[in-house]
Amino acid sequence: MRELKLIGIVKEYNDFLLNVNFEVFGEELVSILGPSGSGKTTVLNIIAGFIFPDEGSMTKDGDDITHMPAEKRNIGVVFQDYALFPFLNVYNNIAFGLKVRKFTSFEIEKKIQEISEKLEITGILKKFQDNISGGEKQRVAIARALVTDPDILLLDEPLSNLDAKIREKLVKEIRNLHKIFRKTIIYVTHDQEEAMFLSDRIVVLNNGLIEQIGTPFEIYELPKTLFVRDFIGKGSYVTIDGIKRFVRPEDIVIKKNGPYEGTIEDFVFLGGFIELSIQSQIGKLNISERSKEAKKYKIGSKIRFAIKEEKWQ
Amino acid sequence: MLQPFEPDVGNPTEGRKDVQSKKNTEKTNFLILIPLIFIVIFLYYPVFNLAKNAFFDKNGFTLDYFRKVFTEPYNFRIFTFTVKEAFISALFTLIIGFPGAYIVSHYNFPGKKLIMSFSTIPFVLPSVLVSLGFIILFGRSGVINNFFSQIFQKEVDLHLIYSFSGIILVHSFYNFPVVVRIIGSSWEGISEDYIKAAKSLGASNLRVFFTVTLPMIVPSIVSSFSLVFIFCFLSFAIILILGGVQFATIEVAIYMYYNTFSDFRTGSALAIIQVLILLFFVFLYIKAENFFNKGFLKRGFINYRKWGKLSITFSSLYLIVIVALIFAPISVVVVNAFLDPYSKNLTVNNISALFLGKFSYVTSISTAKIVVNSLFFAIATVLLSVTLALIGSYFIKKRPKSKVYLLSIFMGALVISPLTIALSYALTFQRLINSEINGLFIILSHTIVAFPFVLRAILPVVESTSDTFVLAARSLGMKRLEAFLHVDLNLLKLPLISSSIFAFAISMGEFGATVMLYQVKNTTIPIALYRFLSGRHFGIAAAFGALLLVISLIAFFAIDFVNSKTRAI
Repeated sequence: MRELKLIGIVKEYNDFLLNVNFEVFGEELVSILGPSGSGKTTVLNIIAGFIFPDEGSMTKDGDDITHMPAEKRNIGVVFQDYALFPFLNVYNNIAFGLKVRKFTSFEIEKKIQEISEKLEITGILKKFQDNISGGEKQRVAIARALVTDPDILLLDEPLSNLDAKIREKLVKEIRNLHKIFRKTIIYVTHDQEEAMFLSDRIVVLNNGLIEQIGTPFEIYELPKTLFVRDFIGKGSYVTIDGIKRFVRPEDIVIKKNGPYEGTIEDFVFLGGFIELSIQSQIGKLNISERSKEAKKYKIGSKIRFAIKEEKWQ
Repeated sequence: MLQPFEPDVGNPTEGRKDVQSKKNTEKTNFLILIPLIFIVIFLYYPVFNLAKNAFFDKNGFTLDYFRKVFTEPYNFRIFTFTVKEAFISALFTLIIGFPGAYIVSHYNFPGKKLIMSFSTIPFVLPSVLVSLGFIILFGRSGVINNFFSQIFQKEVDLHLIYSFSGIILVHSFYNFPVVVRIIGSSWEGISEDYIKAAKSLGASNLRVFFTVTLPMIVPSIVSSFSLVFIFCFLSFAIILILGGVQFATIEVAIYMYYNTFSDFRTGSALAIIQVLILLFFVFLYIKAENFFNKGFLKRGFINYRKWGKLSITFSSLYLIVIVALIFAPISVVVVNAFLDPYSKNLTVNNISALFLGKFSYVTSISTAKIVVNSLFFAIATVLLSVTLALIGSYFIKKRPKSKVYLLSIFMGALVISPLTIALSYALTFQRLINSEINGLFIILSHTIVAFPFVLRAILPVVESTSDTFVLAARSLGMKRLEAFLHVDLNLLKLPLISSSIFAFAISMGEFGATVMLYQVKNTTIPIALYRFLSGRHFGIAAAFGALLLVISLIAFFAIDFVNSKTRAI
């Protein structure tokens, strides 16, 4: 099943307190999402066994692993900077964990052959890490962690050092890998789009505490706290009938006979979309519109719009 | 390379202190104290004892010995000479090195790498050997004087070395690579953008130099100046051999007080004063270096200038002089090893005399034994200093908050001269030094001398090595101790090798502490060389020098090889 439970985990630093409680089910991909300083890396370090919690306990498939040293946990980690050993080539990097586990060189070769075919890195096995691209490094790091067949795989912001185009490609690859290998994966990130795209469930972390746990849909559409609402996606606050409300850009529709009127203060071109900044009687808000319609709008002109009211929170 | 410590809670290596279980931490804590204990027992305790000897005699507390230091006119001369000699040497070295720093930071040329490598040669050469080279080259009947004597058909002595200017000359030879390297790398590192910005604001080239470039390289100038000053201030063998009676540094005076006058209390007082003066200059050096390390933008890619007629003439002239200056003293030693000292005819007598022990009445032991001694002490020094520095580096890395204090304690050896260390040993461990284990104290003194240099080479690499490599190894199932062997040592391989060779070279050439401590059976190559020089056996001295040179050059090429590998990775 490969389940993980964190029960009342507490870790205190001088000016920071982490207090979390959650579980990850077998073969699930769970993201730990939060801004920097929210404690997500501390959670990862506790799960991996690099640091021990002050209080609470942790179980893997029902066995207590709270104080088990990292090397005995069988939890694979892909680090943010990949931590590929610079003194070993790709092949020996992947072989590292297998050698520790005392596999014969024949078995090692077979396993590396197999995993490098799946990850399409057979061509770079003899190279050293300075001579391969960022995307390749990531795949090697994943191969190194996966080849030992860990119960759980931890990914620590694995895309944060890459440029936008490659990120988009690799995020899809990670999703595919999850489908192929059926591993329990915990994915740490500060990027909500990555988390949305990949996760079965998301744990939103802020200031050492969990704000909400839920599917991407729940997190986006039914945020439980102000923090989650602000942190995930875009949106504006408006005041209607004296009550402050939160609206997402896609919930606002431009309509000739809409109930509200506003002035276009600015608009920016974002590729497929334009974003209009509107000053209206209910407050400042942003509206998304398809680029094709761009010609209709001018800064300073007035438009009327409506809000899909069932979305109001 | 140095990464600032970030207390950010999102840091991937945060809370490393908690990485190990409590039981483990205690175990490592004990291990990690070893360098501290070592330094306290073999540096601070003896020096404390030395201070006690300077302040207390059989009648209790007294300042008589300090008074004696300051009232004897001879001592006043020593102080002024040491400061003057060090200051002028440093200034002259700066003047010689500055154009070199400019050339290497602004131009690229074939053979540049080679010349840069060669410039480290003086640094690995033992001072006794360099002195020998300069005597053969510039001495009374040396190559230069003979040349002029032949031209003018009469006895000519230009007084090039047994004089103040001679000392300055040798010191500059020794230290100009320091200036070229420190200022050169700082100059090279200044982002072109600053200069472009200044020019776009309308500044002329000269104005750019004085208002933009110069302020940015000033820390490196101060830092290299104080470093050279410290080295020359502590100069011992060169002064002892080339200075004669009229010139003596504080270091030489300490030796004289102990060895000639048997007045160890005044010698101790002098050593204490020397430490205080040095403290000031080391402080200056560290301040300047820290400022320099904080750094301005480091240029990733360097656009070297194009050669002009003037720059190419000037640079080639400079480089030719420099290369000649590096190789002349070395090559004359080798050549003279094969020349009869009087008739100047080719001969193998020197070499055969060396190995047949024809002159062993001078050293009292065989050449083979001397070589074995030197090698043994050097290897022991390497093992000891590198192990201590490695553990010390982890100690400092684990305690970034107390880094300043730990580093000052460890670097203390920088302000305590080899002679002071030896004198303090002689006062503290007298009975042991006069016993069978005399050699151990030679090794200990060499280790104390080498330790700060080895630590400086290893520490930044240990500090900048990401902890995630070890975490990765552990997540792949490896125990911490195994990870140290398989991961840490592999990551640190090159700095470990290069600092080992450096420690080896220091021990091979060490003279000051050894000459104070050694028993005849523990004679080293530099000591033997000194004996031959004092006996004016120049032929055999040259043969011995050539032998020492071969060993030193092997060390040099090894360092160079490792450095080239380091840059590749």
